[in-house]
Amino acid sequence: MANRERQYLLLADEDLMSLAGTSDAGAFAGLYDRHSRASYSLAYRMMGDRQAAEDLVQEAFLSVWRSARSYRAERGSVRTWILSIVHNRGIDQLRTMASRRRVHDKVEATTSIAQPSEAFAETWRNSQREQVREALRILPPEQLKVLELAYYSGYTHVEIADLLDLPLGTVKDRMRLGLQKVREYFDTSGREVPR
Amino acid sequence: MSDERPGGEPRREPWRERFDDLKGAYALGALDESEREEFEGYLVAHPELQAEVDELGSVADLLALAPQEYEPSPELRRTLLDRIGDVSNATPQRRARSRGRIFGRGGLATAAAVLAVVGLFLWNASLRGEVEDLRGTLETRETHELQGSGRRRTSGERSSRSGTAGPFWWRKTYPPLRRAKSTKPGSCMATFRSPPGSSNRATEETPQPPSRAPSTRPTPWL
Repeated sequence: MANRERQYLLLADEDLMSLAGTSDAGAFAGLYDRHSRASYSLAYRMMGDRQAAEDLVQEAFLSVWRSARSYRAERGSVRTWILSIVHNRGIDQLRTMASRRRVHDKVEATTSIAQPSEAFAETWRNSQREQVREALRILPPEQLKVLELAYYSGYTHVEIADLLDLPLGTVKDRMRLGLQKVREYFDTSGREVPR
Repeated sequence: MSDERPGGEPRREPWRERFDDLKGAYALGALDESEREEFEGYLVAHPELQAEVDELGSVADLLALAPQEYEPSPELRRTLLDRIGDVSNATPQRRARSRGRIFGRGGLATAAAVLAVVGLFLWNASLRGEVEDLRGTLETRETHELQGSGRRRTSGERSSRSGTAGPFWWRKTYPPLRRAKSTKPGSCMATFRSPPGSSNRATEETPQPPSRAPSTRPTPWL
């Protein structure tokens, strides 16, 4: 048993996903161990509540388990695929929640904490994560906020315009410019956008 | 198709302007349903733009890596693995449960069989007792007959009738043959005249004993 677990540790994500597609629970556990932290962090960032975040992660990984066979490596990494499932499910939940204001308040609070100088002062363990945070750190705060409200809180651009009392065109511009700057960060530093 | 703008920048078609206007929000998932369908309609009509959208989506997906990291509880892992165990091993588990049920039923079946054997054993013993009673009655009659004819029984005759020459089931199924003298139709010992191995058929062919001995039928299960 221990040998088998060691074998899982040696396998690439794509191999574990293939095995999970054949109902290999050990491979699935390996995927969970590798990506649950990032998934939970994203879920917590979106839901603002530990229990809701765990429920979201659980549902997302069950979806991963059920649809592991549909994963296609050419369309992105396993991590991106798993996180996109967490994100999409989180967005669905957020959009059906009645108390959007409560979540918004949490987002506001988190955003204020996550200002560049503090948010990126922690020790980075993951180089890609560090690069992404570095890319976001260079964004103007107003662009970063629009991206966060859209990505983490599930607001549409129209809702964000209402929320921030901005013209819709301004919101669209900030979204587009924000993404463009992140892209440029990777281009100018000679790094590839993590996929 | 595209005109030149005053500044030298090519004038884009309205659909393309609309496409560029929406693509950031689309990558972030920030379009409402109707806008999303509209945008995907452009992609269907202009599949060459798909790569651009995918690239923008990759940038948007980077936001998933940005949040401060937290560790989920160990219970979440256990719960999740339990749940996928329920899903993926449903058939094997069901099989295991079925095996358990089968073993359970098997145990019950064994117990029932043991009880049946014990019951039959006791019934057999009871029948044997009745046979002995009948033999006793018969011996009494024979004694009267012998006394009437002046002849005495031999020890061999006594021994065979008392049925002590073998185990009771052998005695029950294959009793010593009676002398022709006492095998007249209607005799209570008529059933014991059947040869070994043909007891059932012999019983059917043999007239039933009188009402006093209804339980002297051979036991077909022995």
